Formats: sequence, C-alpha cells, structure tokens
Amino acid sequence: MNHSVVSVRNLKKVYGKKGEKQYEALKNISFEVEEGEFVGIMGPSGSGKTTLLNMLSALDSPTQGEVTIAGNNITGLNEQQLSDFRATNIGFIFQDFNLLENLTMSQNIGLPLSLQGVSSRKIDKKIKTIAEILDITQILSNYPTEVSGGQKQRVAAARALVHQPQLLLGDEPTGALDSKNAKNLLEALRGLNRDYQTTILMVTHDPMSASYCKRILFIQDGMIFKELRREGSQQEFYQNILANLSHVDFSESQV
Amino acid sequence: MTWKLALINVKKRWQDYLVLMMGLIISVSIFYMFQTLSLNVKFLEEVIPTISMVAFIFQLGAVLLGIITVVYIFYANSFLLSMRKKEYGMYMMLGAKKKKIKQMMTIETLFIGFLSMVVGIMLGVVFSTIMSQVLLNQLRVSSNQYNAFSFSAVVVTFIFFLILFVLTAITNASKFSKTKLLDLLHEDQQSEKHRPNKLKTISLTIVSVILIMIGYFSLWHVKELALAGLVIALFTITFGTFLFFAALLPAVISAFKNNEKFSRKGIRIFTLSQLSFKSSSLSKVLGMVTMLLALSLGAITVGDAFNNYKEALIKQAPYDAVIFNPDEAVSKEMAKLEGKEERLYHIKQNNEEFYFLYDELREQPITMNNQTGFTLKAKPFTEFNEGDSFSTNNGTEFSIMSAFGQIMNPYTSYLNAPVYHVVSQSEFDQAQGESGVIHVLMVDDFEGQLDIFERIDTLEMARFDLEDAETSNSKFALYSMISMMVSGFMFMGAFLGIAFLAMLASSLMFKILSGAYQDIGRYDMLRKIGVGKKKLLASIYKEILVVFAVPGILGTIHVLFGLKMFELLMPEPYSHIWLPFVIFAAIYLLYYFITVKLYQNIVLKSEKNQ
Repeated sequence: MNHSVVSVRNLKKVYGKKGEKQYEALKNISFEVEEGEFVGIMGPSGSGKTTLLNMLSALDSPTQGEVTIAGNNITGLNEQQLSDFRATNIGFIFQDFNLLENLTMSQNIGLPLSLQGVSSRKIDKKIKTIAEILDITQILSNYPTEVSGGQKQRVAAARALVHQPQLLLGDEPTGALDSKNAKNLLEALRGLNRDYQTTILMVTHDPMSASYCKRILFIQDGMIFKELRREGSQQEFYQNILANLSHVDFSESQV
Repeated sequence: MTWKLALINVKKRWQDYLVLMMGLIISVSIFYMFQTLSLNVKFLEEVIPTISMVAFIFQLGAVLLGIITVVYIFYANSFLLSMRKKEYGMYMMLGAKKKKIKQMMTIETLFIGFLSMVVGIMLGVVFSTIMSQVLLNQLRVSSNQYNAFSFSAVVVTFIFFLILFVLTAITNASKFSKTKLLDLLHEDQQSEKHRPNKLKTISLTIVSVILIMIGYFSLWHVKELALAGLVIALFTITFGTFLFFAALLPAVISAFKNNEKFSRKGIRIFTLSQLSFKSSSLSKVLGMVTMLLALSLGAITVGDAFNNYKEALIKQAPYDAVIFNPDEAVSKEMAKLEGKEERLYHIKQNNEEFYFLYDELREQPITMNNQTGFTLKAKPFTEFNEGDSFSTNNGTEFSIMSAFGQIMNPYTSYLNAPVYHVVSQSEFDQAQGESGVIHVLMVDDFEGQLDIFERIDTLEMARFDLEDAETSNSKFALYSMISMMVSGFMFMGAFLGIAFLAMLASSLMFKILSGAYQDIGRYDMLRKIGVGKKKLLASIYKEILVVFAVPGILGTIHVLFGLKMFELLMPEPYSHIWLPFVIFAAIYLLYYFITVKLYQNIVLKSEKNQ
C-alpha cells in the first residue's frame, strides 16, 4: 500500500488579530495525498487555494490543525528548520516562472543543489538527467530572455525537481502559458508522475489543466466542497470537472 | 485634467519622488553654496590670502559638480520614465493621445524641478549661513563681507537648473515618442541583454584602463605638467572610471559567475547573479559614486592635511610668549596665565651684540629645532662653552642662530647679523650695552588662553610702537596668520567633502531603493525553494558590500594619486592621511549598514505580508 506524502488534519487559518475583524480563510480542512498521486486543487478566487498552498509549503503557519509532509509534522518547526525542510522535500513551480534572468538555464536549474552544497560534478550530472527528462537539453546554455514561455516553465519544473523532492507543488503553473505550451508542460508533468512516481499537487483555475490530474479537490469558502477522481478517459474527466465547476458557480450565485 | 493626473502621479509615488528629490535638492543647495562662495569674492580674499590657486581648485570642483549633476538628473529622470511607462501605456489604452502624455510628463518634470529648486535654494542659504558662522568663529574674525543670501547666486542656480530640467523634459518626451504602445505596456517584461558583445567589452575595458593610467600619470607628474596635468587628469579619470564600470566590472562578475567551481557554493550563484544584474544597471551610478567618493575623501584629507601642517608650523615656535622687560600692564596679564613655566634670561644688548650668562643658559637651556625637511625635532641646546660667540659670520648653524632668535624680543625690527655671546657673570657685568630681562613663557594650553595672549600682543605692540601685526614675530601673530590660511583650506575641504558625500549618499540610496522593488520577486522565490532568512541576509550583505567596496577602493586609489597635486601647495600631503581615511571609512561603513538595512526592509519585509 502507498504511504501518504501529504497529510492535512483539521487545518484552520484565521487572518486578522483577535478582537479585530477576522477572516477565516480555511475552515477545518483534512485530506491526504499518497505517494505517486497527481492531485489538483480547484476553486474560485478567494476560496483559500493560495492559503492552503502556503500552508503545505510551510510558508505560513496554520492557526489550528496539522500538516504532515513525508512523515514530518511541519507545524512545529522553527524558521530555519522550515527552510531546510523546503529545500530538501519540496519543489516549487510558480505561475510566472521566477527564473533568474541573468543566469543561464543550467545555472537556474542547479540553484537548489548549490544551496544544499552538492558538488559541482554531481550538479552537472543531475542537471543533465532532469534536462533529458523534460526535453530542454538544447537550451541549457541559453538565458531566460532567449526562449519561449513554455520552455521557461519546463526549466522552472526542472529546477523544482532537480533535487528529487518528495512533493512537487505547482501554483497555477500553466497560468502564464498559451494552450499549446500549457499542454506540453502538463504532458511533461504527467510523464514525471507516471514514469518516476513524482507526487504532484497543483493549484489551478483551468479545467483543461485539471483534467491531467488523477484526483481533484474543489475548495470553496475555505472548505473542501467536493472530491473528484478520474475513472474514465481524460475527456470524460474534463466534462465531469466542467459540470462540477458550473455547479459551484451556480451554488455560489444563490448565496 | 492633465495637471491633475500629472500631480496625482507625484502624490501616489511620493516615496520614489522623494528619493529623487532629495538628490536634486542636495544638488541644488550645493550648487547654490558654490555660487555664493565664488560670488562672495571679498569674503574669500579676507579669509584665504593665497586665493589664486584655491580659486582654481575650487573652479575644478564646480565643474565636476556640474558634470555630476547633469549625469544624476538624466539618470534619475530616465529611471522615473521607465518606472511610469506602464502607467502611460494604460492611459494611452484608455484613449489618451501621446501629446497629452508628453504634456503630463513635462508638467511633472518641471514641477519636481521647481520644488527641488525652491527647497534646495532655501537649504543652500541655511547651509551657507551655518558654514560661514562656524568658519568665522573658528577664525576669531568678524566679517560682514559674507552674505549667505546672494541674489545673483539665486539667479545663476535657477537658470542652470532650469536649463537642465527643460533639457531633461525634452529628452524624456522624445524618448517617449520613440516607444511603441505595446512596449510601454510590457515594460516589466523587458530585460537587458545578457550576452554582452565581447569585442565591445574588451575594447572599452582597454580604453578605460588607458584613460585611468593617463590620468594617474599626469597627476604623478603634476609638477612638470602644472595645471594642464590637472585638467587632463580630471577628464581622463572621470571618463575612465565610468567606462570601468560599464565594461570591466560586469565582465569580471560574469566571469566569476560562469566559473562553476566557484559559483556553485550555496547561495553564491544568486549573489553573483544579483551583482551582475546590479553591475550592468548600476554602472553609471557606481562611476558617479567613485568620483564623488574620491572628491569627498580627497577634500576632507586635504583639509585635514592643512590642519596638520598648522600644528607643524606652530611647533616651530617653542615659546608661547617672549617678553622683554615687561611693564606693569603686561605683567598683570602674564600673571593671569595658567599652567605656565616662566624662564628668565638676563641680557645685555649693544646694537646687534647680545650677551647671555653662561650659568643661566646651562641651567635652563634654550630650545633648538633640528629641521630635516618639514619635520622638526626640538632639543635643548647644550653644546656651548663659556666665552663662545655665535653668529652667522663665524659659521654657526642656522638652527643655533634661530634658537637664540627665538628668545629675542619679538616686537623689535629684524636683526641683520646678530652676534650672541655666552659669558661669565663678571664678563657680563663688564660688557657694554643696555641690560634687561627676557621673560620666556611656556603654557600647557596655548589655544585655550588665546584671549590673554591676544591682550599681551596688543599691549606689547603698543609699547614697542608696532603698527602692523605682520611685523611682530610673536607666537600669537604667527598663530593668527597660520590659522587664517589653514581654516580657509579646511573650510573648503569640509565644504566640498560634505557636498560630495551628500550627493554620493543620495545617488546610492536612490539606486538601492529603486532597484530593491524589482528584487522582491527573486528573494520571494528563493525563500519558497527553501533558502533560510540567514542565508538571504548574508547574500544581501555580500552583494551590497561589493557595490560599496568597488567604488570605495577605486575612489581611494584616485585620491592617493590625486593628493599628489597638493604637493604644489604643501610639503607632505601624504603624511597625515590615516585619520581622515579612517573617519571616512567609518562613515562609509555606517552608510553601508544603513543601506543594507533599508534594502533588507524592502526585500524581506514583503514576505511577511503574504
């Protein structure tokens, strides 16, 4: 049986100080992500997606509840421990790539390894491996300004994966890409998930992107509203997501 | 509506504008100070007797300030333009015509310019008043020749900056005309080229090194090249420095960056990446900072060197007062002196022949200055026998002659060929001539009791019928003359030093603050991929350290060569450089830490808000 990579229990996040106007971004959320899963998180703006992602990546601490990643309870760690934890266990893909413009692609990819003090020779080897998987070998010596958005995001994915993290977190990774490039990236992510059992959790707006996942959690008003598992073809799953989304929209408009 | 929009912009971005304006205001007020100083010629003549050379150096300073102000204003404005491009693009999307936007830009530039001028001139008046008061107090002179508010200075300052601002407005408008709407909207996404042209880099580097070398060479040989050398050095070093930062520094940093053995250590590659980003975008500022630093450090060092020169000159007079047969009034004043040692020498004078008692000179030897170059070593004069005579004619050393000269009545006319006899009591009694007693006074604190010495000096001058202070040889007269000259130089040194340091501060602050906003995303990304706060801080410290250290070092080397030109004015400009260098380094270091703090607040604070 697979063991769970992410385990979230009764997570609650309240913004604002006591006595002042408070805002409950997350209300009692619990879920598990098992090793090798490809999970999507969907929800309308302001539903708490970003807050949840911040908790999962240990960037923000919950008001209540526990987050366990790869067997480590990260709620009790101090700042330094959290940084180290992120550096070794989590890979991050951002919506706007966040590559350093005056470093070459290979220098960008190698950054997390340099941070961990890996030797230069090993870094080269790992960059080569991940570049082959993501098919970016030919642009490794280019600078970010010289390539397309899709290629940039692949490089960003390579940077997120080069240190073989337990969990890959995506914050709208296709948000800044056109549909062709977005598909390209999603295929690559699916390949990683299928061939290397990389656990992926991504937040997305886009039903098309979401249809690449194996499971989707719908969040609304800080709660898990619905969970959807892919059973048939991707096409069916996509239709299913759309149906659920319209349901969300409908119920929202009734409130 | 155009007016309203233009001014709303200023209000909305007041922080950025404030930084820009601080630089401008300081620049205006310094320019004004220069103007008032050079227009108060009478004041200068009164305070600084050796005016011609000083005026020339001062003019060089004014020219430099002009060049630097032009660079600063163009730089700052083009930055503001790039900051606002997206907004202008949005206005155009909403249907605003380019002409309207150009109008808005012009209004903004001129508004900022006008405000800076008004505040700058007011600040300039305040600065000038304070500075002149400090100077006059130090000199113990009261002068009413100095007017802090000078109408012609206001006019000159106003016209100079008006021309500058109009030029900037025109340049900005024409730059804007050339930009397409689409580029305006996507301003953020444009980034600089990261593949520099190698041939260009190499040739620029060579030119920069050659220019700096020529500048150093002409400073080193300033004695032969005279003023031409100074002018050559001024231009070659200025342009050489700017080229150094445009070509050499980015090349060196990217070489480090691409050496993977070196760069792949922790966060180092990020620090280098930040630096290579900064070195290309900061090249003009770094050049400017280097020049300002050189000027400011140079000015302070030279001012201080003059001050030390003063100490040396004053030491030439070992006795604080020498009084011949004091009368009642003078004795009264002498009694008031504290912490004094008084020596009495009996003397008999027959024209230019003087008789001293052997026993007295043995008991309290007179002080002799051994002079090698400009350094003096005081020692008691003991190598004499009873019956010796000293005069220039019998080959007595100059130092011995002047040792005797020091205890002569300073209020008598110059002695042509004095002869000093050291004799026994009996011979002294037999000698022909007028006898008297010389009172030699030495106090612990000369400068603290200047009032008394001044009164003694006045009394003595009256007693010996001296009309002009310059014919007196007293230590007080020497002191006043030297301190006049030295304070003039120190005033100028401090004046220039503060001015340049202020411009240096504002341009660095401006650049660091404005650049920091673009860096927020990078630091945020690093934090997300697991870089701890400590490491980020360390990276910030290192990055800004390089930005400070490189111009610091280059500027210091400029100063070391630049001091050579002051050999025209004083004996050893290098002898006392440590104190001003250390003080300057301390201020610079403090400034470094403040900058780090400011930068850190912007870059790391934003994380908490997320």
